[in-house]
Amino acid sequence: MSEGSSSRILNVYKYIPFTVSSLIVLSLFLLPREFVLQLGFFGAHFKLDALSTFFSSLLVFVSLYVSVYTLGYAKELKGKPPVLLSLTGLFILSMFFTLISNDLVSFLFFWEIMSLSSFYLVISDEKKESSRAGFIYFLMTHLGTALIMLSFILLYLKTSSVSFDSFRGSADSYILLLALLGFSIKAGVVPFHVWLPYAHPVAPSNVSALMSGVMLNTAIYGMMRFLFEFSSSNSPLISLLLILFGCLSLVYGAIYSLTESSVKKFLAYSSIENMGLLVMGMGLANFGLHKGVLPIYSTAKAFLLLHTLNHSLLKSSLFMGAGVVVKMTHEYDMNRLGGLSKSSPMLFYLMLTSSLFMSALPPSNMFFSELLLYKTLLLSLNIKGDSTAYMFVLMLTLLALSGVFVGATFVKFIGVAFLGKPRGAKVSSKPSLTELVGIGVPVLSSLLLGLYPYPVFSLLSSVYPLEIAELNYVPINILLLSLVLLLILAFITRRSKVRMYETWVCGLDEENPSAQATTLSQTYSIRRLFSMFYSTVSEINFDAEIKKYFRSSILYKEEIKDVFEEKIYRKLTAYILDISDHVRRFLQTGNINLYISYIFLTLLLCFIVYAILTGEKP
Amino acid sequence: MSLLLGIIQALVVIMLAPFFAGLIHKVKQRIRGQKGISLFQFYRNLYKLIKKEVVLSKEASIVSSIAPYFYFLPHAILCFMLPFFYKNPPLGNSSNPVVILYLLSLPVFFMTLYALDQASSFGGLGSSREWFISSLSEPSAVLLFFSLCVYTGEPNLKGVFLKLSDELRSLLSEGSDHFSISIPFLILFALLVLALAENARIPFDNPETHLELTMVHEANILEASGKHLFLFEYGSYLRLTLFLSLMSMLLFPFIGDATLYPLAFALYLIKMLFLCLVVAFVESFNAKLRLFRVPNILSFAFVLSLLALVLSMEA
Amino acid sequence: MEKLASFFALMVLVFAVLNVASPFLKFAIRLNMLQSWTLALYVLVVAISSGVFHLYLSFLATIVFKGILIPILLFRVLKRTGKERELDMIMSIPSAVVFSGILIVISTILVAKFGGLEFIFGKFVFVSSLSTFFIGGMLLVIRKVLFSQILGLLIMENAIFLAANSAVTGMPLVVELGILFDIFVSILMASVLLLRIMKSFEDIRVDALEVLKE
Repeated sequence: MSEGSSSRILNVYKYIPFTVSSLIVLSLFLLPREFVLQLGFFGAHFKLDALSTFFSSLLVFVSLYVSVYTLGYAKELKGKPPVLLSLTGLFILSMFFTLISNDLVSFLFFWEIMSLSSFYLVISDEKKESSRAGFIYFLMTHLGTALIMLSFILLYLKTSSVSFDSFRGSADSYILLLALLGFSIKAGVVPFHVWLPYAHPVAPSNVSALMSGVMLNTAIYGMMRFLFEFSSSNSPLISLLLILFGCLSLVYGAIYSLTESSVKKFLAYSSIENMGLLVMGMGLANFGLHKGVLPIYSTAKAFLLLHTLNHSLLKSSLFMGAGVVVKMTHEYDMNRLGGLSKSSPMLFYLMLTSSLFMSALPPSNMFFSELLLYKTLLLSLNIKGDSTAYMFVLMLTLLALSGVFVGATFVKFIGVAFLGKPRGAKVSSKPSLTELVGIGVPVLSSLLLGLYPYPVFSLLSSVYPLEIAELNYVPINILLLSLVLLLILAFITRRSKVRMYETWVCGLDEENPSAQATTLSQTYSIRRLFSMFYSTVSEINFDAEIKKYFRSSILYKEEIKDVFEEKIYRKLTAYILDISDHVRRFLQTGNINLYISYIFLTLLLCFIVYAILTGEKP
Repeated sequence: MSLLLGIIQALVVIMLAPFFAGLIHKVKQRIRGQKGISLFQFYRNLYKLIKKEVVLSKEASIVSSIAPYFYFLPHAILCFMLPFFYKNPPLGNSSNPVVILYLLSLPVFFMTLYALDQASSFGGLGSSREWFISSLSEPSAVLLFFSLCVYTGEPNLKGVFLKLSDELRSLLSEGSDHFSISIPFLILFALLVLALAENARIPFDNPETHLELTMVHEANILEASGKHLFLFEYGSYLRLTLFLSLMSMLLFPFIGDATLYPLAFALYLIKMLFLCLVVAFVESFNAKLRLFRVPNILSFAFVLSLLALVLSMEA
Repeated sequence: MEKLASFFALMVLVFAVLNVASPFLKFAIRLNMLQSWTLALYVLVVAISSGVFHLYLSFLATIVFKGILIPILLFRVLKRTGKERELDMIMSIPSAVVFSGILIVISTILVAKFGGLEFIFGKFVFVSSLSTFFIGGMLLVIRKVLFSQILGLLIMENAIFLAANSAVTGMPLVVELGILFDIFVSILMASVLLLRIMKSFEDIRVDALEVLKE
């Protein structure tokens, strides 16, 4: 295939995701609220109720601007771009159908298609690293699917129906627990998160934006379906577990995204953090239902929906921005970037805004949703005479702590990657217009959401009925006041002149870009204080012979490893491998007679099981 | 009318901020045996900074031009939110504790970005240390404000302080017994520690040195000059005043309406002078801590605010 | 009156936490002294509000023994050992302090679960004494210098004393005096022992004592 024809093919294929998303938009308006699709002998039921409508409109919105971004980004795709682009379309489509499915068979079918297509997208650049990431992803996501399937089968056995409508209020706590476990693997809740920091960064950036922005939402959607609709009771144990795992993910994600130096991996950790927040919110909502305090439930639910929305918008924009950074410099490591604010100011403004918003500083949309969570916590703290209330003290502390970590994370990202002087990476291209538009849409809508939260909120409540308690937060007043103050300040300082000069370097005449802050130095103090959460390996190399204070070169290397992966998963794998080795020696001797006897034994066992299960019916 | 009085209150506090900072400085100098600056020296410094030209680094991006404004503005807005001595601050309906806390960390975000903007090798030090201290003080601050809210049962800080003021008044006039000694004591103490930590005061940081090994706040704004330095300096005075005012509102909560305006203001002034003296004494009789000793004190403040929250949940 | 009592009980707890936060032994002894004084003041408040005469005596005894004699003794021992500062601990100070915060929350929950106890000045006094007890125990575990083991014991003793005065109106005077005397003698003996150890091993670190296990 010549260069020209392949680019011509790419020019056609790159419109696929966009076409698919626009088709979904149309279908959202045209389709009836409830319909049946006849697939051979089986009729797949679909229903657009409030929850589905919310999540699928969010999906459509995100995938629309990600598709616009893909138009510019398609050249960067490695491997087989046509297959990749078609699969992206399939990925979006399968997510849409997962969200609107109304029976378990079609839900699981599209869920599986979603998992498989995203699996291919993860391994698409055909490198060794990505195939390892893909393998971990494949394993974990299927573990999750298995658990979800099990809980659905149990539900089916209980209600003898496949429709979601009949599942309402019939999931006992063990079924609920299984389903929540399955979905939390998909959502990347700690300690089931190991796949997420591998899979999200190696996928192409448009796909990472979709995975972090929308695919995680399908897990949240599933959890909400089970927790608020299918569950038969609101046991406090479930709240406790949700809050515990939520807290764990929150702190873990925040602490690791702080120290991560890869422009995409730190965003993946930040997704874990936000999933932790959402899971925590679910725990609170369940607690509110259990206690019968309606304001807690409704505020927590408003938090869930709004935070999902905000996280989708901002995380997809950040992932797309990170993709553009990688495309411009071919460098993942922040410590080799720097000075990008001059090479692409527009991208810098967008990334600065979304980082500011992601850090949940007022008046951002993320701040509004976190405010809802804090409000829920305050309401729950006011419940007297209940020792679970002390749990919320812990939550409050961790929430504040992770808030600071997130702020530090994004200062590090912007400061190291965009500000200062270049640290070595060469900028080879500029972001294209479609890419910037793709990033700009979510940033602008976040801005709108942050400044006018209440009108947007009431718009949202028309899709999904929501109520919130009085928040004591009026962003528009604050904005007006700051405008007035800005005018006054501008008037006071109107006469000052500006002169450009060099940065003060303490009298030295050399300019050394590597003297700037790096991700390691920027996080050193915090890392040292919270050293119990990391498992780090560091080494210093230098030439031993030279004078102590005038060494020509010192190499400092520090590697931060995932505590859970090191302490739990690695040991577990070693253990399983050990056991299977023993089993193999015992079973697989190489003797054909023995193998044939296995087959007969299995057959016999099947008969016996069948006889036991069906034979003794009265 | 009430809007006007509220705006006057905010403007008075904003105008007084350099005075309080100057007072602390002067008292410290007197304790050291120096003659000391004039009480209005800080106003002169600020005026001089406005007139001077700005020297911008060649490496600077837009962050260098907007960060000073984003450092000053949130602090100024907060002055319009809290009932320092008059009960109707203009933005009182937004005084959710979380809003206040996050408005206090917005300046930190921009100041630390500013530090990284000019490719200076000092900025990184300050930026990293600022977040380090912030990561320790923020949990404590959240617990502290929430314990106030839980104790009074009010969702916003304006309501909290009004209620505390009412409580004190009913205690003085009728001897009612709904009040607490322990909670305000704990919160005041924790707030004092936080005020020192968040405002780069001894024992956490020394605002008067320019030595890169010790500085936190100064390292961040090393490159600022002219009106940018003016905004940073004024912003930091406002930050100090805000923290001290929060303490003053707990110390002897007395918040007046229109008729008691002058009395409440006089009381506020007296309390602030007292607190300035306290800060100056604490700063004079303590040595600056090594950076990794800082967590010891801040974790103690954290436990105090935790205790306050536990107590207010019991009460 | 109740507010004042619970304030003093709170101060007993705060001094214990402060003790965890400080690596200086001299300061620790001073804190211990202050803790004993606030404890005595608490007893005084109980005495005034209940009007039981022997509580006044108990107040005096606490001041004399715990507030004056024991600190003087400890200061002298510290001077002779010459180790003013404690450098190594099993945990870092911040984690130890946060852990003592967790202990406070745990004891609050525990006291909420205890039924059938009657307190003079509300539940909090008991919460405070229970968490002071735990924190004293924690100090015993995490510190590596023998001297602070003595201090930890003293904190635990103060906690028990507070607990005894929170539920009923104190113990009988004879028992109380006996306990006080016991503590005094035990501190005396521990100090003598400490000085002997210092003399023969030239160190008072706990892990240096591990060689004695044979």
